Amino acid sequence: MDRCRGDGRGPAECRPCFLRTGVVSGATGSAYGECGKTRVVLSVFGPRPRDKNTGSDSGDPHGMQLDCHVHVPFDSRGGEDDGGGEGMTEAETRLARQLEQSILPSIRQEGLAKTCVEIHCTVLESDGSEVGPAIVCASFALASSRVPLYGLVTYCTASATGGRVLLDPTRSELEASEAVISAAYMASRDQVTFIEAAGDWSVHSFKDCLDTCLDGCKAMCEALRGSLFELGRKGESRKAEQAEPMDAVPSSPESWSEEGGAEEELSDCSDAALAPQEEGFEEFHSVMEEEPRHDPVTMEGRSSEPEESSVTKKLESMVVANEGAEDLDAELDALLDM
Amino acid sequence: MEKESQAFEKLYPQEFLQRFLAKGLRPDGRGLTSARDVTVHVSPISGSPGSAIAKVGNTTVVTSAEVSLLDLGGDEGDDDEGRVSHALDVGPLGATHNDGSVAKTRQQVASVSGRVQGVLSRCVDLRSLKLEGEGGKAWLVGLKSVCLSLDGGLFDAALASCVAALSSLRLPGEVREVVGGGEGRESSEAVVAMEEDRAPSRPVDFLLIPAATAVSIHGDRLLADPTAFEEALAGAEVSAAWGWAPSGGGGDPELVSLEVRSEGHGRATVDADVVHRCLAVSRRRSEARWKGRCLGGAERA
Repeated sequence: MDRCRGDGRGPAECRPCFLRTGVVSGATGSAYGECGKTRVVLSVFGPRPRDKNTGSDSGDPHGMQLDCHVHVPFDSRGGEDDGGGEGMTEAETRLARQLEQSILPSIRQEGLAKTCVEIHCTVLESDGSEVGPAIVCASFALASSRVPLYGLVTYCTASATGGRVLLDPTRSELEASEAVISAAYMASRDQVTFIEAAGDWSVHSFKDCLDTCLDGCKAMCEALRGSLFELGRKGESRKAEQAEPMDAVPSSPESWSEEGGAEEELSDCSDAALAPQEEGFEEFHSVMEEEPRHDPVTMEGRSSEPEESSVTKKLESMVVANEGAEDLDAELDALLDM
Repeated sequence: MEKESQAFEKLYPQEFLQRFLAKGLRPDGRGLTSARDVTVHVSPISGSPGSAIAKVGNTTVVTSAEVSLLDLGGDEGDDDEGRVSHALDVGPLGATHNDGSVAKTRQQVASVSGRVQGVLSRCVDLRSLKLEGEGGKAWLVGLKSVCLSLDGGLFDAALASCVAALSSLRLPGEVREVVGGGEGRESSEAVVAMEEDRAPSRPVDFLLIPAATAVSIHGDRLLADPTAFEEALAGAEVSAAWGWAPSGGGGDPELVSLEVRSEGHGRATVDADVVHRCLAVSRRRSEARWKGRCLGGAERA
């Protein structure tokens, strides 16, 4: 059965991914990711000083705390939403737990004692796994917000259907499959941070599926790292940034032309934007690319400095106006509270 | 050099802003009464019946519209019309630049959402949402907005994205009753049939097309469409929504919603003539936004 899948991919091809950083102003780092039709916006806040009262559930009160929140506002599959608003649904809680479990091992915690890093994820549309693009975006956003990391975490799903193993299945392929395995993998340390398997494994080989899954993760990690280097290079040369659309494996030609077209649209975006467009894919790209970046992000490999210390260093070298010492203390307090 | 100016901005924000205003400029290079362009894309979310994403500078709001049935209670009164409901979700963004009080953020978000709902209830022809035929049912259009990025102008962006989502929404032409319970549904619940060939779907009718611009007051200067930084330093803010007749051709707009708010660091009282000046500025800027949107959105409706 050598038939192509519904969207023209081979069995071991992942969907092409589009990643963009700097989409949420006011967040330390943010990323927007699209994987096929799954669209995710993720923002990272922190490292912030940790609340002394919370943290009763995590083991170490002096260590770093990672808070993950996932929000799926437009879930067409979901049943009646019970009052909406405050409480998180079960799916959101589960996604947040998966995200935290996958990302936490990749963060270097020794420099971040008593801090809290918050990750907020909004899933705009989902087709297939939502956690996958969320995890990739989280790695991307954490790297671009200069949180010290051990490595990048990528995520891949493999589903087994009637003898074939399909990589990165869409929702319809997932529903038709007999067994599904997903894994989050950190390529730089060759470690699996999260694994989830479900279904009937009597027919299919668990090890083969897992290997296929990890191969997909490795390929995606290569592409992610390449696009981060591109970002760092462009950031240092102080040009306007555009994250290159990245592929895990060669993609179908139509999606390439869409992405290329979206990047060229940048200059006349405001004219084109008001006319109604058919293709949602292109619109999202051109909308997200319009964001001007205020501060260029430099992608250095070394560990980051928390935001406070760079500003206080500059304060020492700045000439401060003739004010009383107590005013300066009050100003410094106000600054460090931000 | 850049880090020093950022430190100055954080330490002495009021002086930072005043230095720009003295030259008739703002920190992002705009003039005092120029507003950011509104960029609107329709149907970015393919799973939703109607959706739109609106961007005002760095503020991004995504709205998704859904229809469901509303039981009017069977009596043919005067208010046999449908309803438009709105919910807004700001997520973690609201808490980053005020004093961190969650209740205050929730209050602000609720007030923005309530205003959007009020404006839309006035601007959408609610009577057209009533279903003919068997009595007592009308459409309830539920709008859900999610703010992805916040930099001032939340009400303007939310209103723009709701209007665009409504204009891309198509009300189903026919409603079929499904009898017999399955999957936990009640037996008499009507199931909406979205088949186009049975009866054509129709768009939502607008009585007025709204557009809004906020104006913030700093001393004796008015700033149109403030960013979050400018909003936090304002003495007061006047937010006005105007509605134009959808037949086009300009004409005088109607003032649909007005809110004068004074909070934050510099509480100030606002005189009536200042409000008039703000309204004039707001109306000019909103007219530009409405003209831009008329091309894409409502003319298709």
